[in-house]
Formats: sequence, C-alpha cells, structure tokens
Amino acid sequence: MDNWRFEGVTKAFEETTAIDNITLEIEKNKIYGLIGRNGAGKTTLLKLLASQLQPTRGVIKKGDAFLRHNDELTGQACLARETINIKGILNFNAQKIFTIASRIYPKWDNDYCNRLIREFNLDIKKKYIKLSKGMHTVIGLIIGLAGRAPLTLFDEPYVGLDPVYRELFYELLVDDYEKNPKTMVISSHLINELENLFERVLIIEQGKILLNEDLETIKNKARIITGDRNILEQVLKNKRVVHKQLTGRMAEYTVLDTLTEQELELFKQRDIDYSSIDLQKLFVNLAKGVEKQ
Amino acid sequence: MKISKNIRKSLFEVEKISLLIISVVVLVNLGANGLVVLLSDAEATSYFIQQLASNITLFGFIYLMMYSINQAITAIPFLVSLNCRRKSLAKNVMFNGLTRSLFITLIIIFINAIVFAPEIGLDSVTGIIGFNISSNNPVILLTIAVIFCMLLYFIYSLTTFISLLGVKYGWEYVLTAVFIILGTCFLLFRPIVLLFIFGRQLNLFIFLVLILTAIFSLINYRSIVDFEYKY
Amino acid sequence: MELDNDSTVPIYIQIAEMIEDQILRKIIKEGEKVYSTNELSVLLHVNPATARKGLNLLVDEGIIYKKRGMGMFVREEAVAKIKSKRKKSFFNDYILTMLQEGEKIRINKKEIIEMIKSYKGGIGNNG
Repeated sequence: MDNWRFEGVTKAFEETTAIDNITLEIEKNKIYGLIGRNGAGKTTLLKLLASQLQPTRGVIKKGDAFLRHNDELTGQACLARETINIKGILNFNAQKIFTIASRIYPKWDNDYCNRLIREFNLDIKKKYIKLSKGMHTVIGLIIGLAGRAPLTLFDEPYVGLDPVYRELFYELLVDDYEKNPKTMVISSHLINELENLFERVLIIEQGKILLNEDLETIKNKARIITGDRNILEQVLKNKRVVHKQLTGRMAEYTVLDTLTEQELELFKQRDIDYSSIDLQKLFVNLAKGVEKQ
Repeated sequence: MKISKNIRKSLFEVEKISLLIISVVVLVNLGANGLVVLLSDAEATSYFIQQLASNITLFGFIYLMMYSINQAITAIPFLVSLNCRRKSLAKNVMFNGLTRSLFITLIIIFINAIVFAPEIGLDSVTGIIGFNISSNNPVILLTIAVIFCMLLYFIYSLTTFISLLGVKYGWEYVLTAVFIILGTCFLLFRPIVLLFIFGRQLNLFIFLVLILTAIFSLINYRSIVDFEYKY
Repeated sequence: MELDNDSTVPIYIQIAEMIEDQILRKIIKEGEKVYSTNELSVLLHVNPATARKGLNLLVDEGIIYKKRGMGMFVREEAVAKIKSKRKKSFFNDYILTMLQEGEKIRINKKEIIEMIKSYKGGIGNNG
C-alpha cells in the first residue's frame, strides 16, 4: 500500500527524546487528528513526516520508497506552521513570502491564494514582524491550503485566531478537501472544535503513540463507567481501562473497549452507570493515566 | 529545469536585501571618494583613484561573504521549511557561488586594469602575486583573473561552511572556526606575504585552494541535502 | 442543525436523522434536492467521508436517491417510509425507556396511561 510508514522511528535531540520508537502507518487521503499535550512530540512528528527532520533511528517510508534524500517525496509535502522563526524573513511582507512559496510548491494555486488573502483580510504589504499573531497563523494557513500538496500538514492551525476565522478555516479546509482529496494531518489542542473533521485520531504522549484509531471506533468504544469499585474491578477485568478515579467506595473508569449488549445489560442490573465520553475528555483521561505510570 | 530556475529566483528574493545594503555602502563610498577627488589637487587624485579601486576590491570580498552568510542563515532554512527540493537547492547554492565569484572577479579585474593601466600613468607598486599587472598582457590578466576567481569561490565555500556550521551546531563553533582561521593566517603570515607580493610557491597555493574548495563544497552540498529545520 | 458530540449515536447517523427530520417537517419536500456532501461537511464542520456515509445510509433506506451529475433527491414516498421506520422503533426508542423509568420510581402502567390520557396536546386528543 502506498501509505506513509514510520518504522521504529526515534528522534533524539541533545536534551530530550522527542519521538520514542514509533511504528505507525498513515493512510492516504484521510484527515488525521494528531492530539497531544505541549511537548508531547506533535511538531516533531509532523516535521519528520515532512522530511524537515531526519530520524535518529529507524526509517520513514512512503510505500516502498524511503523519505530520506528523496526530493520527489519532499516536494509532495507541505507543513503549515503558525509562525516563521527565521530572523531574516521577519522583514518580508506576506506578498514576498507567498511569491517565494508559489515558486517552490509544485501545485501552488495562485488564484486560490488570492481568494484566501481576501477572505482573511490579510494585509500582504505589511511586514511580517508588524503583523499580529493571528495573521502569522493566517499566512501559515494560506500556504497550507494554496500549496495543494498531496501531503498537507497543519501544526496547531488556530493559534491566535478568533472564532470567526477559525470557523472560516474549517469550512475552507473541508470544502477544499472534498474537491481535492489529499492526506492531511492536523495537530490540535482544540479537540472539541475539530474532532468531527477527523477520520482517524492519533494521540501522542511523551513521544509515544497512545492511540491510533478511527474516530467512529473511538466513539463506539469510549465510555465512562461508574459504580462500586470492587464490582467494577471484577467486571472490567479484561477490558482496556485507560484511567481510574477512585473516590471512597465509588470508582470512575475510563474504558476504551467493545462492550456487548449483554455486558451493558449486566451493568444496568448491577447498578453500574455508563455514558459516552467525548474525545477531549478521553484524551485528558488518557494523558492522566500515563502520568500516573 | 523550471524547478531550478524557481529556486534561483527564490534565493535571489532573499538576496535582494543584502544587495541593497551593499549598493548603498558602495555608492556612499564612491560619493565620498569622488568628492575628495574633485576637491583635491592632481597628485592626491591618483592616490584616491587607487584607494577607490582597492575599496571596490574590498567590497567585492565583503559582499560575497555577506551573501553567503545571509544565504546560509536565511534563505536555506526558509526554503527547507517550504519543502524545497534539496539536491536542487544545494546545486543552486554552488552555482550562485560560482556566478557571483565570476562576476565580482570581472568587476575587480576590470577596475584594477583600468586604474593601473600604464596609459593612465600612475606610478605605484603594481605587482601582485609576482605578476606585473601594469603590463597590458592579456594572458597575465587572464591568469590573475582565474586565480582570483578561484580564491573568491574558495572564500565563498568557506564562509558558507562556517555559516552552516553555526546554524546547525550553534555560534560557538563559528567563533572557534574563525579563531582557527585567524590563527592559521597569523602563523603563516610570512609565507602569505611572500606569496602575494612575489608569487612564491604559487603552484602549491593554487593546489591547496583547489583541494580545500573541493572539500568544503562537498561538505556544503551534504549539509544542505541533510539540513534539519530545527526552528 | 447541531451535532451532539457527547451522544453514543455516531455522527453519520445523526446527520441522516437530521435530514429525515427536515423531510418529515416538509422543510425539504419530496422530489427536492437534498444537501450535497460538500454542503453538509462545510455546514456541520464534519469530515466529508462522514457526511457521505450519512447520505449513503439514506440512499440504502430508500429515502433519497442519486440523480447522476445532479445530486441527491428526496424520493416520492420518503415521508411515508420515514414514518413507518420510526413507528417500528418508537417502542424501543421512547416507550421502553419510559416504562423502565416508571419501574425505577414505582409508577405502574395504569398511572402512566392516565398521564397520557390527561395530556391535552398531541394527535387524537379525544380518544
């Protein structure tokens, strides 16, 4: 299959190991949500996927081809970030930045770029350093959208954006994705806003992948189950429990597993409550669960 | 190839600023010198024209170094962040170095040839690396031009190497590298002077420059292809 | 049109039910064009694959059909179909819960029927 694959990938920097032995497959033409705390490794993962960093150990491939030293594959990716950290570029205006970008991305759509500039009310003559944080993000978004790259990555594409522009971005994103299918990975904190855009969800914590599932599967399997702690302990023995909260005699388990109709009936009979849980709550509890370990 | 041309154009966009700065500096310098020439007498004139020529020569070097530093610190990281094709980028960086070395060589040789031409009748020490450049011998001029160009490209490769070193590993390494170079020059001061005035051991010098240029160029190529955007 | 992220009902089913509601309430009439995948995904901020799944569900149930090159349209008998489908699940979706809750708080069926009878609104009020 012509998908992107991380095989035993580790990325270590001087002080930290940002990515710790990850094996992962990213399927073509799906929207992935990459969720993780600050410093969990989201940005590093995206940079590795975009060939802007090289693994310390392990390899990244697309199908049978290695990403390393492969200009063809490098040119297929676009990583849109909320800020440009290069000193010399700070005095450029957006127009110059887009001009350069238009020459580098093979599929750049200039008409679309101009339309986006209008929609976001971006002043392309103003120097980058004089623009607001939100407008820095907008420049990143426009590059990501107009680049029309087969692999488009967005790193926290909402930083500094007010809700109006955020919604505008989601609409543009989904609209364009429908007309021009591509592989997208969006890293995010704002889980509630974005979760319905995702087809698959990746949860990363301390450089490791905690979860790699279809959103629908997660919603079917994720539940909060509360009841007497002893009963819960027994009844959920063989289920994937990602987090436990014990308060006196009661316990609240976060479970990510299939529960049959019979099992749910059993719960009702033994006074065990269960309810579904949204992705954000699941993520928080998953992260807490890791913390305890 | 269209991609190569686009990368060249993009590198040039980043270069425009340093071009602007150096142009302003050169013009100001020209203006100041020109003013002095106008206001002074004939004897001082020849002195100032020579000063002009050596200033422009110096600016040529400075510009080349500024250009390579700016390219390594700004253009290369930025283009890498835009997922530019690396091999193409590395080749263009080499190519740019060559073209600019050639261009600057032409300008400097041209100006110096005019200034020091016997017709103008300036009498001063006009020997360089053992050649008498006040003669109009085209072969001599050509030889000097070629050696000069090689030297410029060597400096370009070296500066690019040091800048990329700094970007990748931190500026402490740059300081170290600069100190090593200055130290080397200091130790080899006498041979260098002998070389530049009398042309002693010219062949060895050319050989060393070629080898070192090749080494640095290769290292630079690899560095760019493997460049990691850490920002 | 709002989606409930907390519900156990998958998003694509919620979308299908939303469209069914609009057909029932004659907001979208039989024979009219329904939302496209694109419109749904932009309106609701959902992945187009999810929107498509919801529409395909309605196609499978015979409520809408695809006209080549033109989009999805409501079938002529859609309203009747939706009503019959919902009548079948009415007991499980609503009455069963009501009875179970009644059991919990000790209300017997007779009391429930009295409550229903005394309700002034709804269809068939005089019976």
